Amino acid sequence: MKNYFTKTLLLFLLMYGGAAPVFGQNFTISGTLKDASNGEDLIGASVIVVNKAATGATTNTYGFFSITLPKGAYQIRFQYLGYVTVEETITLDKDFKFNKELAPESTLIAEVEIKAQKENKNVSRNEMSVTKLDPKDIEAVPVLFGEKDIIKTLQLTPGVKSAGDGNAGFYVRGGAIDQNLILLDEAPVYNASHLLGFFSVFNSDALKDVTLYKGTMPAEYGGRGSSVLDIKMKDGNNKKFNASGGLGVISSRLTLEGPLQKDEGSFIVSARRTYADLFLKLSKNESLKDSKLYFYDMNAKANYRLGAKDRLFLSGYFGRDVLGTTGFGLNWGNYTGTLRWNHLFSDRLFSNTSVILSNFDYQFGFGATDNAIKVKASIQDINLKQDFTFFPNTKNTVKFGFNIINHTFLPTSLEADAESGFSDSKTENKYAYEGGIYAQNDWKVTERIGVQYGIRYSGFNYIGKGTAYTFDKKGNKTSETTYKKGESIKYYGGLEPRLALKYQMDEVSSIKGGLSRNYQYMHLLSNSTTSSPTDLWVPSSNNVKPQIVDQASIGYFRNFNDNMFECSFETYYKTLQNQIDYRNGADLIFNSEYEGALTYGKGVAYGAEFYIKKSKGKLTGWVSYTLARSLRKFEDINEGDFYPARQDRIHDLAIVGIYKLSKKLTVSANWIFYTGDAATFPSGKYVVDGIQVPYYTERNGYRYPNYHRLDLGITLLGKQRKNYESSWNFSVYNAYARENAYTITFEQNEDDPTKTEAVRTALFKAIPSITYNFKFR
Amino acid sequence: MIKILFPIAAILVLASCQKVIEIDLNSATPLIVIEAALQENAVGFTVHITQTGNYFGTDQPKTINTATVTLKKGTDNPITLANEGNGIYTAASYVAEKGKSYLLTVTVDGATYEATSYLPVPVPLDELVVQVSDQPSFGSPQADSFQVFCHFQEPLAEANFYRIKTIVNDVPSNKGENLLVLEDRLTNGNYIRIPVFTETYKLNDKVEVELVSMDAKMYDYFNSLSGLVSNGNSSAAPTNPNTNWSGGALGYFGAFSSSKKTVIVQ
Repeated sequence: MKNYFTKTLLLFLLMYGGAAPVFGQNFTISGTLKDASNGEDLIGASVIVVNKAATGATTNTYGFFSITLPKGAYQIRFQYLGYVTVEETITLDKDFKFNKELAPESTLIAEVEIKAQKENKNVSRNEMSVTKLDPKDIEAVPVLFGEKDIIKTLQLTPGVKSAGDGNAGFYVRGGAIDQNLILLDEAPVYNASHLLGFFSVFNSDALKDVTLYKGTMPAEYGGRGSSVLDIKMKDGNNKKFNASGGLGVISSRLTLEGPLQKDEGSFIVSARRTYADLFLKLSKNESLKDSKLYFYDMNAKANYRLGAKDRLFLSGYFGRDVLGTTGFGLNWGNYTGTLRWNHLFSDRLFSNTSVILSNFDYQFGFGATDNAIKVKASIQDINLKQDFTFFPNTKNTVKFGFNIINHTFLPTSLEADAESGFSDSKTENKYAYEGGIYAQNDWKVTERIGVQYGIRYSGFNYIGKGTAYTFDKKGNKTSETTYKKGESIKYYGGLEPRLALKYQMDEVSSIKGGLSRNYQYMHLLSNSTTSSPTDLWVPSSNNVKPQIVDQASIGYFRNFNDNMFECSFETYYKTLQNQIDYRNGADLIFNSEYEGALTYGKGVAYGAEFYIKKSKGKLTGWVSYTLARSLRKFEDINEGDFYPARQDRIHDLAIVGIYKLSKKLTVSANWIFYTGDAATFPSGKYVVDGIQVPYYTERNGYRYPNYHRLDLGITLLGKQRKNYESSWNFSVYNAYARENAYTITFEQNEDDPTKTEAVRTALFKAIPSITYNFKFR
Repeated sequence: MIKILFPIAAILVLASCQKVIEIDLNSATPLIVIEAALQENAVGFTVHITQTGNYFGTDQPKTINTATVTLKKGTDNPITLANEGNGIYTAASYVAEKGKSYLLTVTVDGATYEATSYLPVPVPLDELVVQVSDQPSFGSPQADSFQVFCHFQEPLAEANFYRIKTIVNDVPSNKGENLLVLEDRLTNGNYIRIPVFTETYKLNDKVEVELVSMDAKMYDYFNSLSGLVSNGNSSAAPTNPNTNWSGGALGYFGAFSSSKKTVIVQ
């Protein structure tokens, strides 16, 4: 721990030493910005000192800002796109506090308008490779079953690829699914999908802000190799009570929010449940009738202000999927809980302390009676996180902090009744501590040049009580050592530098670059095409090394026509070390020696991303095109040569258009095209025991047919009443019923087993859906 | 166990559709396939040597007729199998012995392939019990659908590996989806009542069940093979089964013992 402290101090001194000297008498303007209609904190809103060039601040996650200026007279502008700009003139001769509320330009229009950040923020911010979504933006974008989903909308942006037709899993810049750090109010979410991947666990009604970092991520984040998806829940309306919701073909949603005490605290509870199983009940087929097939989830959050300097937040998510039929049942889910305390040590030093719980578990049962054999597994984190933001002057914003996570893995346990023939069984729990300490400075060097530089030291300690195994090259166990409780089995650590540079040519164009290194200590072992809840999360250990991902990126950003069009062109190159695959036929569950079945390799991913977005006018939307490769190399796969990763889709194009026909009627369309997934097809066949067996020569040497699809949507606003408003949403997924290959399997012909054939399964052909949304005020 | 998920995934996909499609596949250099099953309770031992063919080809596999095949039990002197032509090599009156290790060596055109297999003691089947199926069978009524449960005492002493083979109305079930292997990692020493869950039967079917014992390498082979040829195989990265052949041949050399029972479904 002492080591950590010296490191922070050193880092901090190094960084702050570079800051511009401040002389004369200075005063601080600080405060918060909120939405005047509901009291929600505005994240990333601008506070601009109008009469002092290149001076200003951006509100943080909690709507807080701080600017320190020499004594003088200033005009301060508060602005956030979609909100009415406010200006104040002040004579700064003492510290000032502003708690401003900005009024939305029009609450009604905002529902369907694609909202940019600050108008040229994409050009002027230091960071690159960042995608921001306002959950309100996605309402008009047509999606499968009409179930709006932020992750599926993100899949339509450059560098983000879906894990399959209708799937909520995603790949970022050639990385694997487990390389995405998905945070919901700071809590990591281990399995972000419902119903085997067709829906994400995020109910967009409860969300306020969604930010995806796919390149250099700020130093405050760590633990995953490829990206951070930082999702912030709404705080709840602190002005008045509100109920809203929607009825859809597949699910219904309800959100309640309101003040705990006006302007001082609020709560929000948002829940949804699918009801496909209710349709199954109508079936005449007995086994379908008894089938269970649903998920539900609930988000809840409350916040309360304790005086001027302190604020408490308590938020949580709970969701579960249940699948089952006679003789078999499976259910899984996540829960997270976050308790946060904001404290202002001074007008210039903002602190947030969080205690975070994350849990993922699954269980299934089968056998003659429903639960003759029960299998359970779970993973649990307790996380303590401390973040400081220091605003030394108008040119620097310094962030520093640390976090420490206690991971507990309860790999798999089996409980069986005596009749089943199975014995109770349990693989050992595994324990680990993961920690990080970081410091970062966001520095406006000049009006044109900006730098965000930071460093993170992360460490991972795999500890007892437990048994560690060693294996020979073939995966046979060679030794076994038991460790006492708390005893270190293996420690890993490393420095993760993060650097983002910006050179702004003028108001509308800039060039940016980024360099970063990320360590990943937790790994997901999965080999199926669908994301399965039984995929196994495992820690780094004496056998499994942490994944290390290095990325360099460079981009050109240009806005046109008074920021009506935002354009960007970015390229990246990424290397991935210590990637994991496993041996064919390996038993991963109920196997404490699974590490013997693992094999290690490396990867490389590179690409170019083009993005143009129109965020104003009747027609809004974007075009996103990615040209990319993602390759892997394992000694014992493909004869040690590089081969394309599954997510190696060379071309990926998405066109999203939303057209506002009238105040009440909006139509929208998406068209998606991408190169078919890399796949392994047989090069021959032979017969064993009368079974036709395919013979494989190279990994991922073939491709699925190209994927394309058109989705259409119509949003119709109902009559606006004083206390009630409503809208209808109609959509068709895959409107021209393209039979995109979900899987291609090679099988014996049913009738003539001597013949073999390729069978393509297509999942979704023209799926229409309808949703009714309402809001009581 | 994860395979159980796939039928569930299938009901999700109410709108899915399947179609046989044309795909252009590269042809690869043919590989040797050696299939050799040494049975404890049978007289004679036969080895089949063939080559891989084109995946969509309909010709009979090409046979290898120039091989030298020898079998060695423990430290005994090896015996050479007779070349019968048509890719068949036999030791006609050979009787295998349980509790012994065997080494099979095949030489073709100067290349040598070797595999060893241990012939375990058979585990006796106790009885076969017929029950009305409680397995989900979507879209079809199941009142006339039956399952056969195998009852047997799992020996506590060692790790056991099994394959359950069936012959229904005198026809062996040898489709990939019927390939059923078991291990005793979670059931060691228990009294087992396990259904032949890869198949259901109709009234009056004659079902012959063979409980085959084999060594760990054979289990690994058939387990990885079943992952490849069972229905709903959706591995993102299929690879060839884990063979016990050295030298890059496909197929297997297995020594098996077994016990059999027959039941009429009623």
